[in-house]
Amino acid sequence: MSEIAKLTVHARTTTGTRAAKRLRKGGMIPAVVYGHKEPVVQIAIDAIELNRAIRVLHARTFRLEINGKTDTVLIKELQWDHLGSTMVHVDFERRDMTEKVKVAVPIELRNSPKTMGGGVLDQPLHRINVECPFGNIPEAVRIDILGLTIGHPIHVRELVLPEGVIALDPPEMVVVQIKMAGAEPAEASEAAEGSEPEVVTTKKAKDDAE
Amino acid sequence: MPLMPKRVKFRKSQRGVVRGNATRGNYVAYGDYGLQALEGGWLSAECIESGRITMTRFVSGEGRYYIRVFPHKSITAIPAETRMGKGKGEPEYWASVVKPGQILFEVGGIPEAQAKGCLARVAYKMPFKCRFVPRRPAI
Repeated sequence: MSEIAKLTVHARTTTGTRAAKRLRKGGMIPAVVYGHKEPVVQIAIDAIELNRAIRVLHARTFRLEINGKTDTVLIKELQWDHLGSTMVHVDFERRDMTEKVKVAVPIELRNSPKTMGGGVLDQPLHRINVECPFGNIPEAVRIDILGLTIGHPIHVRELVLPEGVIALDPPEMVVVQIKMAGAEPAEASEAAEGSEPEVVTTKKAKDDAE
Repeated sequence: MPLMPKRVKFRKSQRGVVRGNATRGNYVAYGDYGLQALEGGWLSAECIESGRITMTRFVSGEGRYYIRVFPHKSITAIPAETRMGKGKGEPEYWASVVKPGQILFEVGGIPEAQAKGCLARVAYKMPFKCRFVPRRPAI
């Protein structure tokens, strides 16, 4: 179960790009809290504290004390800068502990296959969409791939999820498999048959002339 | 053989300007680690191909690699010692327009240290400053 972290919240009265930029320069991250038909609250969070909670504690649920009232919230959206190094803005949604939520949970592979059989490990699905109670969000779905063999992929339907957690992705979706190296068509060789690509408009013009 | 489109509407394209940062394709989506461009510019199909060859040698038989850019833009050039005029030159090569933050290559199925070594060699061949990036934390 993912940890419920506590964050220090500062009330924010100013909104807009310039105010948000000033906040970020001061080491804060602008955020907004909404949900449960309660008023939308603009807040600011300490960047270091949030960074630690997300990167180290892997938290996605938080307890925020806003105007003397404690809210349990879920990260609805997290915006990053273009390099993906710093967080720019966070959306928090109010949730009750028993409320069902739809979240994406990371998939973690454990061990390594006994025999690769000349293939390579391929993981098409890195996160699985699940529905679960807010207070019982799994930190990760861990799969033991010790017995994984070539031609026998692990599908979503074969995953062992904790009690109360339902997978929302199609059951036939492949999570992890051993694929033969070079089994997929190489784009380069396909595209490179002619030295120049076919020009669509020239062909049309010729057809029209005829 | 370098990548190029199969079919195009026009043989030649205007130069354009590389402005702003990448808002799409700026996170590791398929593999576990990626090579991110920190500068903008044109990445030629030859560069992509050289990166692909390097990665093939490094990860063959163990992991997988992904090329996240495609050379959609034709770049023209006029021959040396040509007089002014006589129109636009002929297509010389194909290139991908890269903005800062764009993920160029990804690798998966290999340990971090090996992925770092692989992508460092690829970065050496790129015309931009690049950096090694892992996946973003799952939220």
